[in-house]
Parts: sequence; structure tokens; C-alpha cells
Amino acid sequence: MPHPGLKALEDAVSLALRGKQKAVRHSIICLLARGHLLIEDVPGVGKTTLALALSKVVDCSFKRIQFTSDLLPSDITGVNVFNTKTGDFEFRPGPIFANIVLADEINRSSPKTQSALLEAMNETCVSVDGNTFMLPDPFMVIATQNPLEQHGTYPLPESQLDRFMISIRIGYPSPEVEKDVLKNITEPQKLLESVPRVLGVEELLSFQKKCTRLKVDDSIIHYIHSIVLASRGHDMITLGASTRSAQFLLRAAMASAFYSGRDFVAPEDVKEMAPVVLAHRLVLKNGGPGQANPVHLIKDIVNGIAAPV
Amino acid sequence: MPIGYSLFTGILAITGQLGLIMTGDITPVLYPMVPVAIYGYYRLARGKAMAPKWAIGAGAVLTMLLFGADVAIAGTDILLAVAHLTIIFQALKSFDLKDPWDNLQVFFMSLLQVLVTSELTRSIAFGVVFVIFVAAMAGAITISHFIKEGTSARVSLPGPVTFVSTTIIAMTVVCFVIIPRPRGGYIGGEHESNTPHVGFSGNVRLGALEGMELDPTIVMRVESPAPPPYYLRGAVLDRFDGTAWSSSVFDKYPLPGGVPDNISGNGNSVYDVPRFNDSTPANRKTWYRISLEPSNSQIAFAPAGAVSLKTSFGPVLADEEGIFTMPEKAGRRISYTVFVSPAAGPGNVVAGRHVPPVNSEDFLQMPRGLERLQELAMQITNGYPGPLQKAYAIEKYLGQHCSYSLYVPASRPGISPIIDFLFGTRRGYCEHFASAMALMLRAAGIPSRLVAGYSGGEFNPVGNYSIIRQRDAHTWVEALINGKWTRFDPTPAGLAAAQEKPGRLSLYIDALRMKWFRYVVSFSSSDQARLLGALTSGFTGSRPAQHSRIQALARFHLKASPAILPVTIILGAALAVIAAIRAGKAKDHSPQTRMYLKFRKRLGKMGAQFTASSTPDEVLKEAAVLGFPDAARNFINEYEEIRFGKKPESALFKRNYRELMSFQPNSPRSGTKVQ
Repeated sequence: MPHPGLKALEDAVSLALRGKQKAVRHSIICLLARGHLLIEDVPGVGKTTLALALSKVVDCSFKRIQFTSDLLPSDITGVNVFNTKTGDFEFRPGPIFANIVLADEINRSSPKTQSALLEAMNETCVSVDGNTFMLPDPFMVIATQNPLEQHGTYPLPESQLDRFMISIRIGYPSPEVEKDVLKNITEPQKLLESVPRVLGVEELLSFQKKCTRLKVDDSIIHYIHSIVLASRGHDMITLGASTRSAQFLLRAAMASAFYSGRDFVAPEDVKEMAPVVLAHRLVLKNGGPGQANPVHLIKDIVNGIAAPV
Repeated sequence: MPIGYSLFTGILAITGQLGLIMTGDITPVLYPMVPVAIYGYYRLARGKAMAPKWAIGAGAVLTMLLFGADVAIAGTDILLAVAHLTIIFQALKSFDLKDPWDNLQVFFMSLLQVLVTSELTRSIAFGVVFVIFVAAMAGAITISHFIKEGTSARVSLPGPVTFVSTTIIAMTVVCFVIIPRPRGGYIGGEHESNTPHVGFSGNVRLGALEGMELDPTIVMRVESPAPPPYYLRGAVLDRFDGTAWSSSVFDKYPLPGGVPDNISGNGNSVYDVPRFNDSTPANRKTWYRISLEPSNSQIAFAPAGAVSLKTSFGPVLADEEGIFTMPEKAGRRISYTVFVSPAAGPGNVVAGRHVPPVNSEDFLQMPRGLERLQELAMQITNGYPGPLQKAYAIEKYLGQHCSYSLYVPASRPGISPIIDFLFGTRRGYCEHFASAMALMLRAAGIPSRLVAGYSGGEFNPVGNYSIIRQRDAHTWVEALINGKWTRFDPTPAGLAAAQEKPGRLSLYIDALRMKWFRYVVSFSSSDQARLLGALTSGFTGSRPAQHSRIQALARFHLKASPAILPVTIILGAALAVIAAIRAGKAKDHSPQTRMYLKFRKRLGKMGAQFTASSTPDEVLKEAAVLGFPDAARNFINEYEEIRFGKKPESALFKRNYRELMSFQPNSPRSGTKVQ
């Protein structure tokens, strides 16, 4: 039984991205858990649409950065500009100073620029020329990225992937939905404009606070820990889940529980969130017949661990 | 690979090797394989790289060639050849432990080695090897299970490993004690070849020391309520040809009996000496439990006056002079019990026929050339009225005029060694003293004979038994006085003081060996029955009527079906363990969780598809598939709230539970599958 306010949120986002309840649900959970979201998929399945819709339903500031190969760090954080009137340097905040930042096609820019964004994500502040500027609260980065096989990209290093709480794939819609989308062809802007704003900043902040106050039984902690440990000892995985990822999994499970209208975390929250929280961080071993799918690996690991009763 | 796994694998490999080497049958050329294996496991523990494939392959081929040569050219016993093979392979394998399969190979080889060891030896060292093997094997298998489950990193290993190892050792001990053993001891044992055999010669040649006088090899161990020293007869000699004694009795008769021991249905049998075959408990008051080391002779040493023998090796032969022999040489250690009646003198044994009167003439035989001895005997015994006093006088004379010495110069040619002893050197050992006395008794008209056997020995207070060694071989005299054979030992104590006293520790070790053999290797059905009797008497306390009834019941059960009792006990123990584990598990869970688990179990029986990793939510979906009503949703949701949330149990919870447990779905899953 989802929370009524959140149900409206989900419905609103679903107006823009149709037939993708799971992706919508996971991105909202990421928002509630104060995490950053990475949407990975081939072009043209609605990555940007989902990000835009998500930014639209929450009534807060939104900036979009289109990552290109010549984008510079200062294009994100902002620069000090010399003001001839006052004879002093003046800080011009960059697009990162917003509640929701869409970093579109993040792997198209150079690592130097990527790291500028990713450092801001972790520290919720930006340092320019020795001055530190706090980022607004709430602050969420939604990054989209094309899969690595695509030409002209700079893959994100593992340490930076680790900072995204949740990574989702959208996938192609079902045949019915896809045909329906073709029939009702409209301007993308118009479709997005139809998405209503349903959540204020204050409300979002209170939701986020409530997410941290759910009851978490010791057995849930143990369950999470077992999953993380198993990923480290797995013989197909070189680098397993980090401690930060365990924290992320717990926060995501809490948000998932809150989203489902519960005041406690249940095993299914952990089980549902484990693949989207953990899979993108794993470094798999090479060799053998083809690279394993990390999402399937995590699902296998979770299926090998007794759920708490 | 967890370090514990490497450790246990190493322990198994090296224990198997050491066990084989301990038997002494392995060629010393292979001894260096043990340090090689230790080095290999040391490298493994340090995480060093394993040997390259070609090296291992070459080693394996070479080993197989050696094995072929061992069997075909050297003609080694196949069992030993396998032992040699596994010793080399264990060393080789310690450098080639990459897959789980490699460890399993080590376990298998170690098992093979322990099996071969059990064929080759039965010493207490094998017991140690066996216990280490069982414990390490249990530990290794436990760890390999955790590795297989992929949980070795998450589970603290020492706890489960210790638990499983001790449980298995305890179960082994229980099985050892209660499983019926038809033949009295271990099965097999044909290969026990390298244990030192002791010899005993029936003929006594004067002046020819057979080198056993200082030999500390243990011949037997004697346990008895009678106080030491014991005189254990091995041969009776009645003819003296001037230099050597021999026996004129060759006929041997099997003792009647073979009556199974009163409680056990098999194993030990009792053989009675005919004249005393009433075998009443009074006649069995004094017993000697004798554990004979592997021996070249067939003689079952026994004290004088034996009335019955209880053996595990089959029928006993006896001759007229009271010497018992086994049907065949005991190539292994055996034990038997001799019952002695004070009423019975030595000898007087005839099996299955009438006892002929003792022909005293046979025991007065005397060779020529002993006139001086005859004169001396007449001198000594003159003036004493009866044969007993005469015998004492001779014994006293020898004690006063001759001294004990192991170093006797060779007798001069042409002179009888006995004359030389009495009138020349006046020094000699037991054979001289006993021969002189026997002959002097004969000269005085008293029938006499020489007895060879063992006497003395050292008493081990640790286990309350005597250790008889080769150097305790002795000769003494039996004289027929007033129709009864009486023992005389004219040899003065000489060497006793010179013998080194064994250390306290060696006494403990020997006692341990004795107990190992007595209670483990030759643990038999009668021991089981005795143990059972002791247990039942412990339960019934001091009420005699009930006591005997329960003992009779125990006997009946044992007789009726030896398998029932052990099987019952094992099953009972297993059920108790399972119940304890379940109780332990149940204790961990709240009542609501237990209800949830019961419901889940019911779903499982109906064919629901879930595993231990399924969350309550997934179980709920399965319940819906099976057609369970909304009560299932309410029940599981409430269970989750109670278990993981903060909600107390509502009145509906139990009602939902009862409804679910009695609910019968219309279409079970198996039915839908068929369609």
C-alpha cells in the first residue's frame, strides 16, 4: 500500500514514462533515500524523459547539464568573474547549484569534468578558488549514461560509480505500450508539460526525514551484511560491495519500506533493492564464457542467502 | 581456501603417512616423504604457488612406475605396495592443491592409509592415529561443506568444527562399545607381521644359555587376584640324558567344552579340564587373565592347578602333564583367562579318557654317570623321615652350597654338566639348580620332573598386573609327594636386585598399552554384556530381586537379538540430537515466527515454490497461487509487522493462522501442473 502522497508522485512520473513502474518506483525511492541516481541504457528508451519528469514532479530548482567532451569543471561548479564595477571577484554559481541536477550522458565528458561533479555529489559542497559554497538541500544528481560499448565515451571509474546509490536500466517498453506511444505521438515538451508538480520541497524533506526513522530489526542488518559479504567472497567477482554500498542498501531498503507505507523494513525491501543498489559497483572477473550480468549475479547471491524469518 | 581447511587436509595427509610408518612395515626409503609433505602444506599455508602441472604429472607417472616395480619386481605384498604408493602420492599432492577435488583426493588417500594401517598394526599408536584421523576428517568435511555453501567467510568455523568432530568421536566410541562383535576382536589382522615374536623352547639343555636371560622383551602380561609371583608353566620335562632334559609325553587331547560364555552368545568359550568339569563358581575363584604377545610357540602358559580356560581363539589342547597348547601359533596378541582351583594339583589331566595312575617309574629315570650325585643325595636326605622333609633338605643344601650366576664356564668334556655344577664350579642358573634338585630327588626315591616356563616379572601397580619378560624365563621342579605334585624352586634369588627398576612413566605407558589391548582391541561380546550388566545394576540400585530380573532381561535381549539394543540406542541418540537441535532452533524464534514457519511448511507440502531465501512477501505470492484466501495476506503482513516492526500481536493473528492451517485449497498446484 504505497503512501498516498507518493502514489500521486508515481502516477505523475508515469505520465511521462509509461509502462515502466519499476524504474519509476526505484527512482522515487532513490529520491527519498537522498541518493544519487544513475540511469544506464541505450539511447532512446526514455532516460532523459524519466529524469526530467522526476525533476518536474517535485517543486524545486532544476538544472540540466549536457555532458560533452569539451565540458570543463568550471562549467559545472561555476567561476569567479572579475567585476569591474566593484573591482572584485564575484562567484557565478554553475548549474550544479540546484536541488535536482540532471547530468545527461555523463560518460561523454572527460574524467576531469566527471570528477568535479562526483566530488560535489559526495560532499554536498563546492570549492572554487579556496572558497567553499554549500549546495542546496535536497540535492540529487540524476546521471544518464550510455552503455560502455558505445563509441566516444569515457567510462566512469569504479570509485565514482560507487557514489551513485541506485543504478537502473529502463529497457524497451512492452509492445502494447510502445505501439500506444507511436499512436499518440506528440511533442516531447508537451508530454513533459503535462506532468504536474505534486510535491513541495518541504514535503520532500519531511519524507526524507521520515525514511530515516523506520524500525530496522537486527536480523535485517544481518541480512544486508550477509549479502554484502557473499558478494566479496564470490568467485566470479573481483571487487565486491563496499561498506558504503551496505549503507546505501540499508537506506534504499528504508526508503522502499516507507514508499510501501510501512514503518519498518521488511526482508523484501532488502531483496528488491539489492540488485539496483549493488550491481553497478561490482568488478567482475574476466574470462570464462562471456561476462556475467552483475544484476543476475546479485540476484543469485541473494537467492543463496536465507531471508530472515 | 580457509586456513583451517588447509590445516585439516595437512593433518589428514601427515597422520595417514605417520600411521603407516609407525607400523614398521614401510621401507625406510620413504620416510623422507613425511617432511616433504609437511613442507608442501607449509607452503600451502603460506599461500605459496603450487607446483607446475608437468612436474606433478611427471611425479605421478614415476610413482605409478615405482608401484608397478614394487609389485612385479620386488614382489611386495599388494597391501604394502598400496601403502608405499599413497605415501608418495600424499607428498606429491601437498604441492598440488588447487581445486576442492584435490583435497578430496587427499582425504581418500588418508582413509586408505588408515585402513592399511589397521591391517598392519593394532598397537595403541594406531588408536591415536585413528582418533586424530576421525577428528580431522570430520573437521575437514565440515569446513568443505561451509565452503560449498559459500558461507565459510561468514560463519565462525571453530565452533561447528569442534562440535562435529567431538560428536563423531563420541558416536564412534558409542558404536564401538555397543555394536556386536562376533569374533571377539577386530576383523582381519593377517598382515600383522613385523611385531617382534618371542620364543620359548621346550627342551632344556644344561649349560647352553639361549640368550634370553637378559632380554627385556615382554612376553605376556598377567592380571590376577592372586598375589605374585606367578609360576606359569610352559613345558614339563621328565627325561634327562646327562646333558639335556626332554619330554616323553607327546599325546595331546582337545579339552572338551567350547561352552559359550554364560552371557554372550559368541566370542569367548570355556574349556574345562575333565576332572574338574563341574566348573562351579567355587572352582573358578582364582583367575589369571593372560595377554600373550605374538609368539613363535603354541603354548598357552598357565599356572599349576588350572581347571578351565576361557579363550577367544578356539579349542585348547592339553597333555597329561597339564600343559596347554593352542590349535595354532598366535601370530598376533591374544588373551585368555585361566581358572585355577586350589584343590587341583599340577598335571592330572586327561581329556576324554580315564586318568591313568601316575607311573612313578617314569619320574625316577636317571642316566648313567651320576653316581656322585646319588651319593650326595643319600647323604643329604639321610635322617629325614618323609619325602617332603627330604625335598626341603635338598633345596636347602643347594641354596647353601651353590651360588647363582649367569656366567658359567663350559663344562669340561667327559664330565656331566650337573656333576660339574655340584662338585666343581658350584655356580649356575635356574636350570642347574632345578636339574640338580630333580635328579637328587629321584636319587632319594621321590618322583620329580622339571618345569620350564616363566616366573616372577615385575608388578605394575598402575594397572595391577605383572609384566613378564623374556628374561623371566625360569625352570623349577615339581615333585610327587603324597600323591600330589608339589612345586619347589631351588634357585636362589640372584639377578633380581641387579635388574634396573623401570621408571614410573614407563609403568604408566605399559598400563595404557595393556588397557588398550584389553578394553579396545580384544573388546568382546562378553565385555559388552558385562558393561550392560554394570549399567543396569547402576540403574536398579540395591533391590536384588529387580536387579536380577533386569539383568536377566538384558541377557535375554542380548541373546535374542544382539542388534536390537545397539540400534535402539543409536536411534535414540540420533533422535535426541535432532530434538535438541530443533528445540534450539525453536527457542530462537518468537511464537509468531514459529506460526509463520509452520504455515510456510504447510505451503511447501502443498507444492509451493520457495526456498529459505524467499521473503514473507514471496511466500504470500505462492499462497495466493495456491488459492489461499485473504487471511493469508493479513496473516503474513501482520507477521511481518510483529516480527520486523513494532506492532503487538492482534486477536486476528491467531484466528487467521488457524484458518490458514485448516484451509483446503480446491486445486492443489500439482493438479494445475498436469493440465
